Amino acid sequence: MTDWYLGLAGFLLLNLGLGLVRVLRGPTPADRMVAAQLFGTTGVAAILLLGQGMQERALVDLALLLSVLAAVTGVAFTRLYRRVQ
Amino acid sequence: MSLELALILLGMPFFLAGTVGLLRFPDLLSREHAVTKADNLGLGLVVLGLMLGAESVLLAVKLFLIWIAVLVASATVAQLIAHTVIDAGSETGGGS
Amino acid sequence: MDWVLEASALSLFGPMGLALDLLLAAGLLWLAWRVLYSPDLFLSVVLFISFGLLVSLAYLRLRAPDVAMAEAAIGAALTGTLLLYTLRHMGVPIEPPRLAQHRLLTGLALLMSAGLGWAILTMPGFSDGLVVQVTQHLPQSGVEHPVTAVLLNFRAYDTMLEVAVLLLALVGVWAVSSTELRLPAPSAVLRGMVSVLLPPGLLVGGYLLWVGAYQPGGAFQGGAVLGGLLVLLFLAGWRALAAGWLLRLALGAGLLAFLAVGVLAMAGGSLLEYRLEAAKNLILFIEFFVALSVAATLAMLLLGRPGSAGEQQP
Repeated sequence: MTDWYLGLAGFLLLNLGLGLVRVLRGPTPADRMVAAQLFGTTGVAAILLLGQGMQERALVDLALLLSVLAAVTGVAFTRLYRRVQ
Repeated sequence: MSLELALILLGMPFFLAGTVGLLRFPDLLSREHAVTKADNLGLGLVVLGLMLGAESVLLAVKLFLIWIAVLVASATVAQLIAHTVIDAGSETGGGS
Repeated sequence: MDWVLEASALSLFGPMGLALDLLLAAGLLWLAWRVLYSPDLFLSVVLFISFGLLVSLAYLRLRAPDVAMAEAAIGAALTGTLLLYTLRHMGVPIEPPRLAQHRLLTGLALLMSAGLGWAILTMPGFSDGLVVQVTQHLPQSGVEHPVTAVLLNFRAYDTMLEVAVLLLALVGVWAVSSTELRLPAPSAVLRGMVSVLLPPGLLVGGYLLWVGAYQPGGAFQGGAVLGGLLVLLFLAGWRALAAGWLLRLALGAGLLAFLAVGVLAMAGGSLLEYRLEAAKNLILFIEFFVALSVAATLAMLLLGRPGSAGEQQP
């Protein structure tokens, strides 16, 4: 059973890897920010599934922490980015 | 196959759809739609599945909180990014 | 395929886990390369945050959830935010480095990595380390989670010095660059998000602080969440908080609490030797203020020295 969860977590991580393609391609910074949003959703889901697969309850707390901080980082992107003149 | 696992598996294609949309849609705003809507739905299904299998109320509450926080964050940041782009005018986000 | 079986056993979770670990390792290497050699600094920062999250995952696979939490919060999110802030202040675009320029350094680094890898792979299996001693003395430490017991009791002296280092780091940063964060007015959407996220966020931070006595968590993790919330407030325009004395008090509170408990403990023993019955409460007391300090320090790193907006850049 745990193999299922680990496999699904791996699938989601592959999705994240694909999302990185958008980070690399751009072309605009906003595109990169949107791709970074993936970490807030796919990343959290991957950690939850990883926690289920590793039978480690602490990972839910990690996902909790990550979701709050993903919100902060997302806002930081939009508020702190300034186009280099 | 337990209901828990079924729900989680149901969420997977949504994540894939979001990623595919992120890579294949023609411009920034449509890519944002893909990431914000599809991925959050996928997460919702995963959280729902895990909640059904949760052994304590505390765990279920934590999972629900996670989903709400991510939802609020995604919605807000998507809005903020979109406004940054629209207000700037020149960056329509088109391209490869 | 014997080596696959052996490696699978090492990775603690069979072939599926091994595949995951290999994926993580490859991802880390590739990301590290791209962070350093990207043509665009903004791209580097985004990749750096991704790198931090991947490192956090690696710590998870190494069964170190406390470190994973701290890495995700501080190493990825908050450091990434700090880098974004730094980027904002760099006016001139920088010529990106090229791998060819660093051939010698790259060679040396690869050599060192290979040497480390060989040393680790040829180590004689798993050792128990100090697990036996820690488990033996855990009931006397006042907490149930071994990591917290080590951090706040057995090796509390080190932690106290770390808290002092944090404070010094902030003073150092302020001394070098005193630019205060100035932002345009926040939109209604942002204000709404802050008001929705703040109460549950505080709950999460407090929960992580409290739960450290029983399972992964603790002062640094809770403090990092609280720090993130403070950063969110600053980003949303609530700068008035920083000018006040409350935040400055919070900066020093952790070290003060540690010193106070440590010195007072000398009345019955040596420095930081808690009395058995009081250990749990003392630890919680210290952790509360350390969390506040960590939060304030992380946020103030971003905000800059209050009142310095009018000064010249060095």
